[in-house]
Amino acid sequence: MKLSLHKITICWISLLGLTLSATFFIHKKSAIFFILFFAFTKMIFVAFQFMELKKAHQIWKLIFILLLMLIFIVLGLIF
Amino acid sequence: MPEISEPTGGLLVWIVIFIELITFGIALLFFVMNGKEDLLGFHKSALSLNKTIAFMNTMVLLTSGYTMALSIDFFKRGTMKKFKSYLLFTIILGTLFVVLKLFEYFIKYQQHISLDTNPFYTYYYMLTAFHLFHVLFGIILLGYFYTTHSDIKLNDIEATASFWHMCDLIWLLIFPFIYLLY
Repeated sequence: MKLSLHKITICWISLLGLTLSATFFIHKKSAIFFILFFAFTKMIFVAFQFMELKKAHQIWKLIFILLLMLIFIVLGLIF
Repeated sequence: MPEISEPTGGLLVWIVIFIELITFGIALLFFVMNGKEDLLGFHKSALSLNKTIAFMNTMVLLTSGYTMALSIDFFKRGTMKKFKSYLLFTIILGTLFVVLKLFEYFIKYQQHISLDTNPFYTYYYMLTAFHLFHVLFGIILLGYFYTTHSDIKLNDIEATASFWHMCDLIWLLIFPFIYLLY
């Protein structure tokens, strides 16, 4: 149980870190890639750690990751 | 045939989560497509947004997700006092998000910027307000579980937690497109 608390805390710190990191890329040439990659990573963290998707069947994990990839790739390419 | 176990919170809430992500994804698709037609207008409008409040709101919402996850963890351990405490933290942080968002809207109102100012702001208000309604609904649900004296079922509170985390997910999706990329 203590281990799960540590994992949740590490996940939260990582999420805050990734949010702050995005600010350094706002005016960079490769901003779009990094900002969208950070957003994608944060959503994966929230789903797998906070929402415990890691405990679900593989098919749920696959569907979730594929849906996110589809959304980010389509939006990123059109942008 | 082996049974496919449901994700935490149950099948229904996850169907809602997928539908919401697709809905916001499609809305953002139209937002980005409109942005291609009026790149300068979108850029100017995005510059007028208050990014500090948006970053603060992101931190607040992510922290509320953290306290929600801790709350569920304590519920499973049977530590009800801590469960309720972290649930209250989540409600407070959710309320702080709403207050900051309304403050952001108030600044825009003072600048005479409304829904029909330009296409960027139409999308800005539609997307952020629709998300805000989800947060408000989530606060009401959490408030019910905080104040109820009857026994709380694990599946019910997990479904509510999943709904709350969905608000995180939607915000993480719309935040970069509205506030950072243009």
